[in-house]
This record gives sequence, structure tokens and C-alpha cells, in this order.
Amino acid sequence: MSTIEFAARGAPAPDRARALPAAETMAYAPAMTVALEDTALMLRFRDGDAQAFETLYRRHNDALYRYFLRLGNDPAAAEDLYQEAWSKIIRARSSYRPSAKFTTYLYRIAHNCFIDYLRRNKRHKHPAAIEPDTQPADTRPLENEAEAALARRRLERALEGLPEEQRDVFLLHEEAGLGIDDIAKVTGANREATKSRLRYAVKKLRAALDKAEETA
Amino acid sequence: MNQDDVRADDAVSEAYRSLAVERTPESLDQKVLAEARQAAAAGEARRWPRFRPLAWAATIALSFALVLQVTQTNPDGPAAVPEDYLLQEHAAIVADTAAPDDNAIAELQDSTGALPASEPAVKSEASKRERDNNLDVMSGPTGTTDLPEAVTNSPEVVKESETLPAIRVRTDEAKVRASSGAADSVVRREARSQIATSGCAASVRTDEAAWRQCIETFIAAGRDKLARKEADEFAEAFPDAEPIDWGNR
Repeated sequence: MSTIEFAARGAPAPDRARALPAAETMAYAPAMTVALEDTALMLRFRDGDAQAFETLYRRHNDALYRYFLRLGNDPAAAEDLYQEAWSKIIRARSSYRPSAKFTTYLYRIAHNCFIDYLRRNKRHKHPAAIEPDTQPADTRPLENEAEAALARRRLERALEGLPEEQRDVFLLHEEAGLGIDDIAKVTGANREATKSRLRYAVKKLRAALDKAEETA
Repeated sequence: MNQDDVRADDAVSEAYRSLAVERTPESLDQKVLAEARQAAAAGEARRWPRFRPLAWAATIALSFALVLQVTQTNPDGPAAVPEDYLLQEHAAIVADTAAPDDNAIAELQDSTGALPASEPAVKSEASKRERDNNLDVMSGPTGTTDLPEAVTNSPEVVKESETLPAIRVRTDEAKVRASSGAADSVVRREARSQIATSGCAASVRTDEAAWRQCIETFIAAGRDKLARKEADEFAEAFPDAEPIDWGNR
């Protein structure tokens, strides 16, 4: 049994733990944040634990799906990209190294899949609106359904109208919960550009919401 | 506006969350999870680390073999040209440079009818025949060889004003040039065909930056097919790496 496995199962790790890379040792430490647990689960999956992958998958599936859905505004493409991204993670698990947060790793792969998709399809337009047959989760009760529906519709349109880069940054912020630095890592842009894109995206969406309120 | 300002815009976040309620279709979940289970069952994750030392050993052995092959087929000196052949060539040149004078004397003697064919002329003829036979043996059944053409037909090789040792040196140089040039082109051809079939070396493929550089070299050289094959493999191995930039291709 390796040092990693000892740590992962809560058993005292032998002295060899000192020889492990810091990130791997941290990933199996008892007091874990969610991000570290993600890394630990991925390492366990790398070692052949399918159950660990399922736990990890259930944590991120919906957010990743929505990321693709909103980013491309094409449900069929979103499903393909979603499956492609997870397939890449599964196939490349043996080379996985916990050098960054798993979420950053996951969305970096997702972002690359989307970039490849855009290159394959050149500058595609977004013809398809989001189909209504997706499964809605429980929504919070709203006092004025009509008002909320209008606001949502405006926000949706505003989001669709954002430049791809700004939409990407906004979705990474909202769906993946990434900070500016992690978003910059995912998109390959510098920190300032990332911050600027997010700022513009939020500003435009805010304006769309304000307009909706005024209309109401 | 800093990062905190962005976060502080709760209204936008809240509005977005009320909008973003879609969930992954169950069929898609099942597909992904089935793939993961299949992969885990195949046990690739456990197999690869075990074979890694073997892969390294094989890479090193192959590299060593390639280097050996290259050094053996790329001589620095005239060793690739048989010694006997050089000696025969020298003898032929000596005979050629000596022959015109003897022949002239013999012809002069024949035309005057004063004397029978002289001994030097006979010797020269015999020497020529012997040289021709030797060349036939060396050049094989087709009777062609690149060296005599390069050496004996070249006007710069035999000049009346040159001394025999000078001619010999020039002959040697020409032969070395011809032989090493041929060997170089063989090595280059082999290297090219090896790259064409195998792409980037295994040692390069372990490093993201080195592999990317190798692919970019192929792209710059216009070898798109090979570059794309390499890029696909690169994306498989490093899915989180920035995709290869193809420019306008």
C-alpha cells in the first residue's frame, strides 16, 4: 500500500510521506477543503477507484453542463462538448498531477474543448435557443412570476449578447466559482484582461436587469 | 472595480442563478459514468506506472542504436572506400598521365615504319587493359560507378602541369567528398523517414513544452498531417494544456 493510500484511508502515513510532492500529500490530508477533496478523489480515480470518480462527477456535472449550454447556446453541441470534456479527463487520468485546484483543471479542459469546437466550426453563430426540455431544479418561490420571468429573459438575452470571451469569464465565475486568477489560468489570458472582461460582462448584465426593473 | 466589486454584484449573481437551473440529462450522466467505470476496470491507471521504466529503457536503447547506426554509416575519413580501390585508381591515373607520351612515340615510330611498336607502348596498353578490368570488377555488373566519373573525367583532376603527388591528393579528396556526401545523404534520408513515420521522439513527449515546440516545428515546416497527428496525441496526453495554435491553416 502506498503512502498516498495510507493517508487517503485515514491511517497514519509512514515516514515516506515526506518524500511525496507537497500537493499530493496535501490532497490526502485529513482536514480537507472541497477543492482538496476533489483532488484526492481524482487521485483515487487515477488509481482505479471508479466510485471516487462518481462522487467527483456528481459535484461538478450540472455546473459544467450549464457552462457549455450557456457558452455555446447550442444544447446539442453542449452535450457533445460535455461528454468530450469528461472523456478527456477519464482518458488522461494516469497523467493527472494535482498541481492546481481540480475545478481549474476541469474547466481548463472544458475551455479547450470549446475552443477546439469553435475552430472546427469556425465562427459559428448561435442559432438554437436553449430548449425547454432540460430538467429544471427546484426554483425559489417568486412573488411575482411574470416579473421574474421577464427579468430572466432579459438576462438570458444579455448573456447571449455578450462577446464570447466575456461570457466565458462570467460563466467561469458563476458556474465554476473561480476567482480572477484561476479564470486567467483557464482562459490563458492575463489577469488584467480577465478582470476587465468580467467587469464589462457584469456591467452589461446589470444594465439589462435594471432595464427590466424599469419596464416592470 | 476590483475582484471584490465584481463579487459584490449579488443582484446579477442571484438573477443568473434563478436563470441557470438546467441539469445534466440523466442519459449523459450514465454515459460518462459508464465510461469511467470501464476505464477503471481496465486498470490502465495501474498498468502504466509499471511499464514506465520499461518504456524508458526501450527509448534509451533505441536512441543508442540509432546513434550507433548513424556513426557507422557516416565516416569521417576515406574508410568507407576500399583501400584496394584507391590504389587501383592511383595506378590508373599514373598510367594515364604516362601513356600519351609513350603512345605518341609509338605512333611516330609506326608511321615512319622505321621501328616495330616500342616496349613502353605495349606496357601502356597492358596497363590500360588491366585498369579497365579492375574498374569493371569494382563497379559491378552495370559497369557504372560514381567515383571514376567524378575523378577521371573531371578536367580539374588531370592537368599536364600537375605533378603526380598533387594529382593523387586531389583524387583522394574527390573520392572522400563523393563518399561522405553519399553517406550524409543516406543518413539524412533515414532521419527524415524516421521522423516522418514516428513524429516527435518519446523523450520529447513527456514534456509539455518540448512536445509543443516539436509540433510547432512541424507546422512551420508545412507538415500539417504529421503535426495534426501529433497535436491530437498531445491533446490526449495533456488535455488541460493550451491547444496548439494552427494560425490560418
